[in-house]
Amino acid sequence: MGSLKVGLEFHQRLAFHKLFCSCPSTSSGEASGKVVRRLRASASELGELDPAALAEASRSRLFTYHVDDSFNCLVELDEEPPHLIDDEIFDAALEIALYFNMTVVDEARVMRKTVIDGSNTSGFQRTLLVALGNDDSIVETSEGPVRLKSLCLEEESAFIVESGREAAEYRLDRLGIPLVEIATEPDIKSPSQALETAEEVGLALRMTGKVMRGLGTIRQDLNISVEGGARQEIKGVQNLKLIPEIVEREALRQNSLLRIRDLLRTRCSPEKLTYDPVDLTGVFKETRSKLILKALSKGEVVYGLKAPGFKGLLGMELQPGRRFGTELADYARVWGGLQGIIHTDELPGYGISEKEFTEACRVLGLSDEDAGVIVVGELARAEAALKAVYSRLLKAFEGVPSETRRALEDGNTDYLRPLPGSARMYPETDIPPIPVSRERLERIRLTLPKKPQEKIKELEAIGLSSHMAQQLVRSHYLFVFEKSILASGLTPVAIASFLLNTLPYVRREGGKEFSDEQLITVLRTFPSDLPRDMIQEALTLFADKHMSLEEVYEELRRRRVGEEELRAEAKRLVEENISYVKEKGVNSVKLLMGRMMEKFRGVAEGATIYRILMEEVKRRLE
Amino acid sequence: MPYSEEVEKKLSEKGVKPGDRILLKRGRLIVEGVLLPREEVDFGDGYAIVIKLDNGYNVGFRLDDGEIVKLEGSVELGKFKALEKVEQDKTLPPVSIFSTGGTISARIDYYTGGVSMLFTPEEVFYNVPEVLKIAYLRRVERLFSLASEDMTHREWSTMARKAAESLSEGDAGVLILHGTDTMHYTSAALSFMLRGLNAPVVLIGSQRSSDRGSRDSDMNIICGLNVATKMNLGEVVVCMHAESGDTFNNVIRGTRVRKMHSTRRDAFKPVNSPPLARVWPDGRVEMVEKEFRPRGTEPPTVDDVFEPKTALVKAYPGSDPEVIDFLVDKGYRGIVIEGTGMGHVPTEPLDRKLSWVNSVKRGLEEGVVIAMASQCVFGRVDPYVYRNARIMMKLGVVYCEDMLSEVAYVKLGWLLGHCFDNETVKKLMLHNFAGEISMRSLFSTYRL
Repeated sequence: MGSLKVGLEFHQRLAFHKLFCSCPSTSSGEASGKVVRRLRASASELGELDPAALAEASRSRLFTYHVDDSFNCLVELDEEPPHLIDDEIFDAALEIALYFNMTVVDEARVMRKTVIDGSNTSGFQRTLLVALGNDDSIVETSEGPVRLKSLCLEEESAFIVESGREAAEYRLDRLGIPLVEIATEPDIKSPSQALETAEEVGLALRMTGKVMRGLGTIRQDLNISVEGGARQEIKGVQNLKLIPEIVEREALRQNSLLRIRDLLRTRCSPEKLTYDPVDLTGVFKETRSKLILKALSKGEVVYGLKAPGFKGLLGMELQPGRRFGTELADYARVWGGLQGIIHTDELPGYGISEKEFTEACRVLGLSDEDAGVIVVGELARAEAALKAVYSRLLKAFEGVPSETRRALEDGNTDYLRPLPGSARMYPETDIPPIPVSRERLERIRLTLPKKPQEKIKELEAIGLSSHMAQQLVRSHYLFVFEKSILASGLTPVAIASFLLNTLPYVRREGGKEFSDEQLITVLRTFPSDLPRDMIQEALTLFADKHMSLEEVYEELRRRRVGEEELRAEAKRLVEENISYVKEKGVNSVKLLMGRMMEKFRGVAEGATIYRILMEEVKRRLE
Repeated sequence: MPYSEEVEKKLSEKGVKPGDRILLKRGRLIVEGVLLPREEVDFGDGYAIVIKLDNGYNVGFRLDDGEIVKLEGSVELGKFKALEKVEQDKTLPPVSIFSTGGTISARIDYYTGGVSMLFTPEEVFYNVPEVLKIAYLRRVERLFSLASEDMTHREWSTMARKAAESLSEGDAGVLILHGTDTMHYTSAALSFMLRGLNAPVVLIGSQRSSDRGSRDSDMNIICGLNVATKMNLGEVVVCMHAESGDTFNNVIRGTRVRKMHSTRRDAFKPVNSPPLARVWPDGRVEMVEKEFRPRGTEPPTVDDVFEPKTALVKAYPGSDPEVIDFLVDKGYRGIVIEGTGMGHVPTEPLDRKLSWVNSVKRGLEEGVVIAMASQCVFGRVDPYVYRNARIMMKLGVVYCEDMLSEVAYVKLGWLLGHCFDNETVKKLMLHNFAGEISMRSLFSTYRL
């Protein structure tokens, strides 16, 4: 395997209101209204095209945007110019840049990055470059340093609800949430180093306390190439754990494509491959293939293309479960809107008879070394698909084409679109450039968050075990912890234990998610006379919003079970199981404790229950 | 290149100019890209040079003690691609397009962000290829490049003459691209100045810049051309988005239209009147108003006189009538007051100095025509309900019924441009020339 080069791009949402307006960055998925729009292609992005081609390209999809006053204003609807970026949000980006030792620009300029898939109502995404990497901005990993390249501040896109060839629907609640995009240089050399880099950057981002947490608040794009291959941009990896698998499989794919290239070159030259689509509809007049039958009944066509020298190559596996033919099918899907293709390496199949297969090969003029690609669909689509397939076949002679690809759940990727050029970026004229003074940077530098190792030491100093300290720093709750211990009656260990043990347990059990604000409020005010096991109950009641804090604690005092009741139940249990108690001695507490907890979880302190139970067992054994 | 003198000096010492590829080294910073001009020094860091990086981002860096090196690979800035000539279908209805400025006429240089003005048919086709199937663009001409707030009656007059000329040469209709802010003043002016109109004169604009995929201009051009070529109409109209979505456009009479929102696509609403029609981008037209002027055979005549000494003044709580005195002293010949409610101005404030009675009285006595419209925008003025209006009426102020104040201003200026005596002007203010006034207030026409 040739040498591997990987660069990562992180998209981390910031915990502020939206970047270019004052709408909140929360959402409920509700929408009270819909607006229907079309996006049009601009001459600039399509280059030198004749008007007819342009018309075809700009025959636009219909986009429906779900909008709600609670989360949206006219800015997200592209009905009002963007507002200026709040100092607070810009400062957060500066802080992150300085935390990574990057060089901040003296003047940031908002750009428009053309996006016409509808995910931005305007037809572009607003983004600004805040800092560039330098020799000191590196992420240390066990396999060597990884340099950071750039940090940008940009707006989140709209959430896609549904997408089709003619139309797509988006929700606008997410559009405009601020995010930082941090890109590394392609210094990563192995799948495991990619994962480690991702973990380190994620940790550093959380240390700043300025980032959102929860599903989808951070996602990674991967730039991967192998020696002799080409750069691929793989979009939207949300699950960190998948990164090594994706890297591995992409390296595999590129190396397989290189092997195909080498084989191909021994058989044939690219000049032999021409775009001469052949109408095969006649071959399938009397077919029993349901797929083709259905298409023909709708007046669709069957077209084929000869792929000289490709025999056996289309069926070759590139990644587990994906063949070269699958790549061609991707092109047919993206450019022609077809479900897929049929190729001769997999025939006979699809209900196509031996006879039809032979006849199709004959009409296509296939020799022993050739393969054929067949598409089925509406004439215009079939042609568009076949043309795209042809362009992909042609690239096989060169090896690996540069593409934007989408991460799939099994670690494979599929084709999305060609890599974008830098031409799609131009100035946002509605927002003046933002100067960044040296004074501002110095002010932020003074209060930069601690590095993870320093922070761990600090936590150990206030009584946390080394394990707990490390866990806390790597969790999303460091910020909540630090805010809570300032004024709480609970000990730091109690708070850490709640955040690291109880909360994940609650989540696993399908319990409610609490906001940082709610966590901090309850942890700070939780009364010392209530059992610690009631924190979760307090949060649940408080989050329901029907009660004030005082009322919550009053209610818990009412529910709390006193020592007398605990002792009575302990006595009863001991008597009920007297033979077991006598047999096991004090060890019987283990089993009985479980029974007690079933009854008193959340209404009495575990430690208290244990003490009373132990006392009763011992008393009875005396 | 609007760099500060100091920066420019440093750049020229290095023999570097915008468009050059450069390398900037400053401490740990090493950055490479194309030097761009600065659009302004008042915003941002005036001492920063602007560099376009290879990833497309523009960034600003101060030179300070850094070092600039000129590299190979400079770029020619500010040059638009020459567009190929397009063969048009001359059997389609001929139309003239006049661009006058505003967002819809602007074209962005994607490299620098600079803006230039649209003026060839090819530029229209490139952005809106659908045009080729709707109309034969016999003539595409840039009349001026003015923001709409910079327009005066002189430009109205030029537009009127150009439109009349085009129609006399046989065009099926005329399309005028205009800035949106004062488009409704222009549409009113053209409605009065083009007499005996035989075809639609359609004003369109755009609320979003045309660089973006979401621009409203293309649909407005398509709908506007459909109106110009297909509708049986001899009036000046505004044709803009009816909704925030790209669904259909309203065709609104030039004297009954007003920009009601600063930024939305559907900013233009009909006032005190339904839209004349609705038009869809696929060419469908649905008439709404039954009374309209149909196409004719004779080209229009131009009556484009205008008295520039005409003013539009707003009354408000605490407003000082000195403003009327000032205008009278300055020799103004006509004043439209945008009164409160049904057409009121302060007449009995506790501070007597703030009563408008004497100033209005003096103005009228000195031969100024004073007219009253409502700042409510919707509805009709009425001089009989409250005493302060009765006083104004009695003094000789013309109450303009359901006419928009902006339209009343244009109409008064136009009438005063003729050699009529004041009494005639007052009478004609209430005469219906172009659908601008009506005695029936319809239930369904108050819609926001």
